[in-house]
Amino acid sequence: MDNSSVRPADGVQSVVRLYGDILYRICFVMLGNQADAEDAVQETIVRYMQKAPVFADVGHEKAWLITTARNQCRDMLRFRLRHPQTDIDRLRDLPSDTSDSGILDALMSLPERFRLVLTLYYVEDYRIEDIARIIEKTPSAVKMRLQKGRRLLEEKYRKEYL
Amino acid sequence: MDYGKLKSSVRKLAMSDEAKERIIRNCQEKTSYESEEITMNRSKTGTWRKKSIFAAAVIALCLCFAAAAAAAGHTGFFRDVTDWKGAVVGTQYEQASDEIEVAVIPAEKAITVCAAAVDPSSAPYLYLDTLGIADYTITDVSGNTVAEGKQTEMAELTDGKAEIAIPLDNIGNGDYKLVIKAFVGGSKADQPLPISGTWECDFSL
Repeated sequence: MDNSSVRPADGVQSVVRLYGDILYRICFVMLGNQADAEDAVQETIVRYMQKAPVFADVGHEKAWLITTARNQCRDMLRFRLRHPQTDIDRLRDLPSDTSDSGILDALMSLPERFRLVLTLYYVEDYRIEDIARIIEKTPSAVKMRLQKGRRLLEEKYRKEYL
Repeated sequence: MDYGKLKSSVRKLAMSDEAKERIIRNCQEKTSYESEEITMNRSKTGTWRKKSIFAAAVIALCLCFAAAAAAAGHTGFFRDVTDWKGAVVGTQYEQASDEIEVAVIPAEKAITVCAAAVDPSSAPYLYLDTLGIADYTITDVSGNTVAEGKQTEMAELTDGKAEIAIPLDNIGNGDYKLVIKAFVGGSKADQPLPISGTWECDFSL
């Protein structure tokens, strides 16, 4: 990376205001707790400032941030696997104001590869082709994950929350 | 399965304003620090001229210090004399060239060496009662040694000054150089203290 092209520090504020929540949602869904999600968002923004990539449009910028956040979360998950410290169920601290936390709990209990695809598709309204670009898989692989993720989510939700 | 419920539920996940402010602050600090670092690195690149000037300045400074140290002269020091087993068997005083001034007064068949301590109140001169020459040579203008000796008679040391006589036999008139390699100091109930250094003095007979 060429550090000589660091983005000016003033740009941080607008990026956090614009994309902070979506990045936080994705990181939270992937990591399962607030503190790690905030750390992941911060690291993502830092990389954005350091790399200072040039984007074709706003959508491209948003997709880049989501991909970077996802990679950051995967790094953190890998670190957790190598350095197990606390049970993931204890770390998972859902916000108290989510009245439909049953479905959120069901989502969080799915494997990470299904959680992200379902979130991007049903929450962030991304198309399958866009999700494929973000997670660097083929559209058919995304479709398969969506299909299997939906089935697992329904099973989990019906079994435990209905 | 109602995925609208999933959407509304996940959309409720939002960062607190406090967390956002913290992230903004941390990122700004980190990026501004890195910008400063880049600026510093840029100023470092292509500065071979500055580096060479700095190196030259350091060398010049070292030379100045060395010259100043040489000009300032050396200070003598005591050193233990040890035997082959390393046991201390005595003490000697070394590097005293700048601490004793020497002058020669010629006379018939002898010269008198006037030795005066520069600082009579300092050790070892303060504690010595007598002073003699422990090692000397006298050379003529050609560099030939005309006299040499290992020990002269001890002379009384008063106020750091002593007049030590060196007898000269069979030496004709001419110009000579006295080179003293060591003095020896004496005090009551103590071993003789060798005082080493180099003193040179020209004289004529």
